[in-house]
Amino acid sequence: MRDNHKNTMERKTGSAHPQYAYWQAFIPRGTRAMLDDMLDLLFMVMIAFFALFFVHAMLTGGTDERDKEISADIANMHRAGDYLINQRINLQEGAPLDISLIHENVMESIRQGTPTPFEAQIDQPGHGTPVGVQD
Amino acid sequence: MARLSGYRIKVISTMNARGAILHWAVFGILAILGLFITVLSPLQPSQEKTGEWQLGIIYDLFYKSQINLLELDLFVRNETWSIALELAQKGGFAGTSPCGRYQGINKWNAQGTPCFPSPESSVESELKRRLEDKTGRFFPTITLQDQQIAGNSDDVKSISGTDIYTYKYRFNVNLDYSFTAEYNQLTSEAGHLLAACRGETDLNICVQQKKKAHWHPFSCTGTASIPAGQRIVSFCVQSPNNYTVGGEPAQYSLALDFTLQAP
Repeated sequence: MRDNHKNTMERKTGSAHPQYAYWQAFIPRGTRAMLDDMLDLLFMVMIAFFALFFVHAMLTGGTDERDKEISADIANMHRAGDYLINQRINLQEGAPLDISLIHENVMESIRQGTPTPFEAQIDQPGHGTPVGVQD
Repeated sequence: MARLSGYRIKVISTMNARGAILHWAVFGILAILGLFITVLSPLQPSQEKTGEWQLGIIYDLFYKSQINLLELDLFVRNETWSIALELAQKGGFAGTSPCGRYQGINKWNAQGTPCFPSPESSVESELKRRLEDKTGRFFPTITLQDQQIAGNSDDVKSISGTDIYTYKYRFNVNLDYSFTAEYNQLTSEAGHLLAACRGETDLNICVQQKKKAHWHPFSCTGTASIPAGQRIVSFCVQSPNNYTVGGEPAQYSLALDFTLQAP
């Protein structure tokens, strides 16, 4: 009886394997091949998507770091420019200035990207003196 | 067993040929990606920062030029202040007054002849000399206008590697001090005092009454009186406009001759 059933399934599905047989029992052979191909394609697209996603992350991860450094450099450059403008304002207001300190701040501290001892406060009306610079 | 192997053959044979290729293609793509990542990961995608040259130009040429000009402005301001104090001590003259000196102090008049100073030319010539000593450059024109002093020299060529940056080497500084305002007022006050007290017998009383509060006979400290019979008096005059020069109060030393002009 069991052999008969197997034979019947094999005849219907082209496979004697029960797991293969049950859900495919109602799909015609030609359609099954197409479904196979379609699933292959789907899996390939998914794998390619994740693979490319990984490559993209790897590539942009590196460039993001670089972009951050460039942004920091540009911010430092602007900060140095603001600092120099503030020093000119200080000069016009009669404050004493130390040129060697200004040179050091601009050419060394800022360029190295280390925290600077001053913050531009040029936006404050009537006060052009940066923090950390004596009047 | 024979049936089972028969099933296997059947299973494989049911796979579509194109499907099999796609299966292997997936593995192939994975292998290529793995190889790609393995080869490229130690290299990293180009990490060289962009804008390095531009930042170099800004720092090495532009900012350095700004600092250089700031230093020039600072030098001019400090030296002009120094000149202002020196001139004030000498009554506004770089050397000896044409009217001579009294006890080492430049006289602003000799009997009826006024010798009021005109310090602008002295400031300009002295500052030119000091700038030339400091920078090695000649500044053909220096102008004093109210509290501003300005001047210019030849352009400076700054070089970094193969990059050249040229900028104008000039200054325009606020001194917080006006030579013109100070000396104009002082000469006016001196003229009034001379006119008021030249014929007075008791010069001390006249001067004490007619002088402005910032005029002090002999010294800015103390209240000395003018001895009877003395007709040439030295004064210490505090800044009429309350100027301080580089933190120091401006004080002028000068002498006035109250001798009556011979008829």
